Amino acid sequence: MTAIAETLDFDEVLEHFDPVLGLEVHVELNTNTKMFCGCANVFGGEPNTHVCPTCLGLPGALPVMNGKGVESAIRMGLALNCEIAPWCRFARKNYFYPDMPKNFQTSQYDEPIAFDGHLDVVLDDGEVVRVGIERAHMEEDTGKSLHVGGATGRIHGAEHSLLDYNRAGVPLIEIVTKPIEGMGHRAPEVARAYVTALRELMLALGVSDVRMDQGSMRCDANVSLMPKGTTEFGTRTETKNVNSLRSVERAVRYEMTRQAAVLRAGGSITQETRHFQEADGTTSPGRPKETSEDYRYFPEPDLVPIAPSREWVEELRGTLPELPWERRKRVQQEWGLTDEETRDLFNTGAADLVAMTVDAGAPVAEARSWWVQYLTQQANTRETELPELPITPAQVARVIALIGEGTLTHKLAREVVQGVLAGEGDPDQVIADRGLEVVSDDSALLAAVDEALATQPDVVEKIRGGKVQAAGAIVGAVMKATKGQADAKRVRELVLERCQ
Amino acid sequence: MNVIKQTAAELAARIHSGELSSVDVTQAHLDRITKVDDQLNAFRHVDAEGALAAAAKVDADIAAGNPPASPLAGVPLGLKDVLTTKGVPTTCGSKTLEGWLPPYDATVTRKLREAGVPILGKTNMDEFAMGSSTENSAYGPTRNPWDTSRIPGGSGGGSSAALAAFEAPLAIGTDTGGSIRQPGAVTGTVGVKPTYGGVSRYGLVAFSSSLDQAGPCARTVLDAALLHEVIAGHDPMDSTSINSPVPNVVEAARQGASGDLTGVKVGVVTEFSGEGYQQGVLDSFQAAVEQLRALGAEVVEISCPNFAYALPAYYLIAPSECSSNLARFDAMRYGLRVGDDGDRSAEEVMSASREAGFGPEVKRRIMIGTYALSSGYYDAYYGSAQQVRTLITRDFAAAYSQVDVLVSPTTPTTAFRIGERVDDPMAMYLADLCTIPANLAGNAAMSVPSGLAADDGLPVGLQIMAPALADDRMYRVAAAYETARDAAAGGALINQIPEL
Amino acid sequence: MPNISRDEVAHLAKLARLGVTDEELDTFAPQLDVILESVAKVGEVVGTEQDVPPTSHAVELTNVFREDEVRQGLTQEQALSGAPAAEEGRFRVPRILGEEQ
Repeated sequence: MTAIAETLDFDEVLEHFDPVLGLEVHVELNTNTKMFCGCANVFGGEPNTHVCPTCLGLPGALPVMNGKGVESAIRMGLALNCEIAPWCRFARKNYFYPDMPKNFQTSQYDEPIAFDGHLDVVLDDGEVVRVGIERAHMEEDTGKSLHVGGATGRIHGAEHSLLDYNRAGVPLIEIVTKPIEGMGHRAPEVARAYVTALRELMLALGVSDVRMDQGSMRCDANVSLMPKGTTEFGTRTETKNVNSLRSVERAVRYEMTRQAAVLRAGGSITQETRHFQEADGTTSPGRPKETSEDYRYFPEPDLVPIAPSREWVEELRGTLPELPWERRKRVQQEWGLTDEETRDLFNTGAADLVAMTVDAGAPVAEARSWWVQYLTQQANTRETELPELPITPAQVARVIALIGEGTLTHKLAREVVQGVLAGEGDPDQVIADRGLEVVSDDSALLAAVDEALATQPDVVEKIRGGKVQAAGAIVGAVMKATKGQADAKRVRELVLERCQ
Repeated sequence: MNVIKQTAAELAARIHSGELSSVDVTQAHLDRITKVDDQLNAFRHVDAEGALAAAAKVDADIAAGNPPASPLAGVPLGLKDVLTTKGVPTTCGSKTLEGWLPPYDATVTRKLREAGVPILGKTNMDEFAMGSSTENSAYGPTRNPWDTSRIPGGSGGGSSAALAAFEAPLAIGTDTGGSIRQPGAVTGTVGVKPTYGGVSRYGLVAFSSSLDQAGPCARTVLDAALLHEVIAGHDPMDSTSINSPVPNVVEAARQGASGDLTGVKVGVVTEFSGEGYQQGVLDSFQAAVEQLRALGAEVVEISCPNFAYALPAYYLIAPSECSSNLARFDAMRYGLRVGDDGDRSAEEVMSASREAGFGPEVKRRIMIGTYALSSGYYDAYYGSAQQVRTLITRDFAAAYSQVDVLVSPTTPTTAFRIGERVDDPMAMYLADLCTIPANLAGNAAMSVPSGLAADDGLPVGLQIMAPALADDRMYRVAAAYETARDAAAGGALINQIPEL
Repeated sequence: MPNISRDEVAHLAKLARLGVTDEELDTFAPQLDVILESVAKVGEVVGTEQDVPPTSHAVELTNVFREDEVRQGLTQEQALSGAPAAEEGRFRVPRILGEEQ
């Protein structure tokens, strides 16, 4: 092993190699209970308080499948355009590890519930890439270990470990892609975009919290390089512990540059598990295995096969919500948006809010502009998410309506929104309390217009001479005098009338 | 009238009428255990306090005029030490579980408690039910009350010896390849393996999950039927539990005892005779067949050619499943831990603990199973064994299309001497030759005493097999046969047992 | 066909996390050999028969599901009651060498 971590410049990597990716994503389902027992499926909690004889692997205890978990797996498979197996089973994956109470993991092996699908992924520039899905299968999560002694809770150098089995038996779906080839320099971006799209999909389906920070969505990235012009896959590494969307991109990019450096130096890649280091964006090798694992899979005799009827599958297909990419397409068409506008709408997370604002009576363009621009800025300033802002779509729609009927100018409207965000109540309440209504009484406005005209006779001359655009100066003065509460459009009309 | 020599049905009638108290009956059996168990080692653990408390509750109920909780309320029982009992030691005959107090009851245990059956204690067994002689118990062999130099059968030798020695009128066994029937045969008692899925496996510490089945052990067919009805029935905690009504075995036993077998077709399995079969066993079997014919049954010979492959298939399937089932005994969460000196790793402690905690037969089977499931060997061993299972099931189906029940000797020989086969695993395995097919096919089967072998004066068992879910059919034949045999012999076989 | 060596027995023991002594290796190797040779018979019959699907289960049940409802489990005290060692509500185990999988 080389002592110094060497990497090759990313562009140079691509001169010589084509990257091949394979992504394995584990998603914890948000069922009420675990996959094979009635223990609560909740994150955290006092250690070993969500356990029973089954998930603790006590002698004699038996598993019984959570029907809701199977249902979620099928819905997920359908959303990923997969075939749903008419008959499949769980198997036992046998290996010893203290976080696994039975020393085998109940998992699907050669009979996954869903297989052969795809997910369309939209990249930053709007290009759509189709990622093939090899399979999606059900399995159970392990317990959690706490390593005591040695350096900072790491397994290496620890004196002993403490085990909590609250997580043991939580339902997991593992989604495995087919090899992702031909992406070139976009490979790291595709990896991130795929995991992002998968995350959105799970949210739309409502089957998982997909919190990468809490481990309810975890990604392992397989990366290999093949020399340009060849077609045989190179030796791959599997990078684990990739716990954010950004890390997915970084980990893939790093592995590409690391492997390229090894290969260019005449070395070869070791097939191994590597760990992503969040701090510096590198990967490091895991402990080499003494012997190749032999998991001795065989059908789980304590469970019976799953044979979803066609009727059930079709019924579940009927429960699928509009999927994120379908919705994107529909919204773009319905609202007549450009690719860029569509991307902004969805990337800011404003789509739902805009739709609700439109439902509350606002025109699309205004609703979109408020949420995607002004309110997104407000969310950023406050370091919060758009939906968390203390303003409702109905309130935004009301503000837009008030602008439309001339009660508010844009400037005033922003003040009203600030008032709502500050918790001062509904828009109408804020307007009343702050006295923000547009001055629409012509006599009051005329007084201000006449005053401004009187102070700028040269401008009056210009207007009368046909230079209509000079009216702007007068309008500005009037707006200033009325502290912005006048309707600029009306002021302009009055100025032009007076100068005729 | 000696209480301990009575049948469970007689005891129940006298307890329910108020003539006898359950406490007295339970105490009489506890006294008997105290008196004779030193010579037998049938009980691993005696729970006098728990049994008497349960008995007292039954007595109180009856005194209060409440109907008995079940037809067996108040009649005490010995429970094989492979079923979990909350707060009461459950060792499975293994050193690895010495001192373990399960935090939960098996479903069978729960049903017994709910039925008001006092549990006298836990009966000895081959370690994790692996064996045919009870010599593989880490706590010393159990001896056959007919001749204490001989084995009481296995793995449930504790239960069969307890019945034959009048230490209990009822017992529970578990049968993976014959562990209820073979001990029944060699101790002159009745042992029933119900249809797979008929009795819940929840809390039955698994040896081979697809074969294990708990069942009733008694001294008469009617007693076994009464106990069968107490423990059988659908259990949502066991995925392999059959969700259909329990066959009416008590009614069938009563009907059989009072009637003949006109219209019943009995098939004699031709493969179960010849070389390796003791003459005294074959003679007793022949007499039993004549008795059935005399009762009006039509007897035909049936060939089941694939039964010849049952033994090898069994000794692949059972060890394979056991290698996985016993992986959980790793000294991390419960059970014996050795070598934890603060320096040894978890992996080393696991190996050392499993070495110290398991006996040689368990180790042998774990290694056979590990081998059979290994990549490269799976198809030739485990895979082929599963196919043999299909062939055996087909043989049974063909046979049951011609006859109602099948009969054979339960075991090829009578009880062998302690120590005779311990160093020759293959010789030991032959004891299960006739009993294994029913486990592989999941059918019902039982052993009923057919007399003493003329050549050595030891008990012989008649095996009666019936299709899955037709347990009542074999009870009817067994009860008719028992009644006729006892009448012809001038009393029950058990009455000929020498005094201890 | 099997002819299982001492080394193979040692490998199996390692896979199965079973410590075995040299003496045990000497006893087990020939015993496993005899057993495996005998059980290898299953290959014969299957080879001659056509269309024999494997049976992993005697009962032909499918789709046995549980409602997604929380059931009372064990308390922490009950969960840890059989533990050889416990600390801070957790099972205490010796240091772990291998990596998580």
